[in-house]
Amino acid sequence: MQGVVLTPPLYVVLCLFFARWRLSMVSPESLAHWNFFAGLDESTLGKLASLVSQLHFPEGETIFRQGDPATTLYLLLDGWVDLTVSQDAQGVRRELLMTLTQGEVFGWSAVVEPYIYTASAQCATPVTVLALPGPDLLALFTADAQLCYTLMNRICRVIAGRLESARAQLVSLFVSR
Amino acid sequence: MISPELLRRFPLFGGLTIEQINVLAMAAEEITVGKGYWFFHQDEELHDLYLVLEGQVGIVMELPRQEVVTSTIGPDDVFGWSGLVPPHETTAGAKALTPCRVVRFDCQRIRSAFPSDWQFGCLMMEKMAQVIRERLRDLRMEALPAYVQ
Repeated sequence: MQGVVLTPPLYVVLCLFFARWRLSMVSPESLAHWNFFAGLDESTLGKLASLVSQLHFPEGETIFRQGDPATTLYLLLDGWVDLTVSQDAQGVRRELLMTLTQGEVFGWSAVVEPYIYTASAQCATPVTVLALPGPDLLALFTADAQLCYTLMNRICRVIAGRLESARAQLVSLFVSR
Repeated sequence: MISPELLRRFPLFGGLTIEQINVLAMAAEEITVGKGYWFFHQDEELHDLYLVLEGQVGIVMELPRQEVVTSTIGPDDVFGWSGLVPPHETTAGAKALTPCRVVRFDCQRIRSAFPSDWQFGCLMMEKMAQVIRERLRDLRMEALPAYVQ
């Protein structure tokens, strides 16, 4: 008798759980839309899509901190993310490096040794991201060297973009003197 | 061409197979340059990658009235990552700060080996990512704070 009473709420809970899981699924086609994943074949996109989850962060939230173990690579779907570094050991003085916008990849340290974030990422607005677990992505790279080449090539360009921005910042210091 | 045995000793080439080391060796030549020699300038097309054997190389931002050294590259380290990473354009110059002995790799030959060995391409890209990470670290943690004051 007790079992019969329990059945409807359990069913509702399962339905809700299933609905939530369905909502967080990302389709392979939607990945192909972003430059970072452009040109990959359907089966590869399918594998990537199965690793990805869509996350939301409120304004002001820190997504990761400089010096933390880098576990996740992110693609910014919506909102602005500030990248900052602290130039003192206490992390008190923070310098804004750049503000990322839609379509940009960040958290690249998740796939580059020694897997430590080199900057902090903080939401300047409410933010939606795709999150890719670094270890899963690295396992895919081990199984598919061409995918590794293609995406690491793009990761190199992402880091080169950060370098470019840091150089521009240094140039502006000289110009403003 | 230089000896594959010489290349194998370098940490940068750890994890590469003998065949992959051979491709690098075939694409390599050793050069000796004097202090002040420019390996390349900023904003140039580049298809070379360099490994320092002896001496010090400065990664230089070339400003209108000034040269700013943002990284110093010593023995066992590489520079010229733009040779392997599209669009193959230098983002800074590289200048010998002392007399130098370096290995110069022809990146077009290296890149042409990737389609038949993606594992090689994958490893080289992983290494280049680490090289660019180092340059970024030098800029953010050393050069920028030094000039902010």
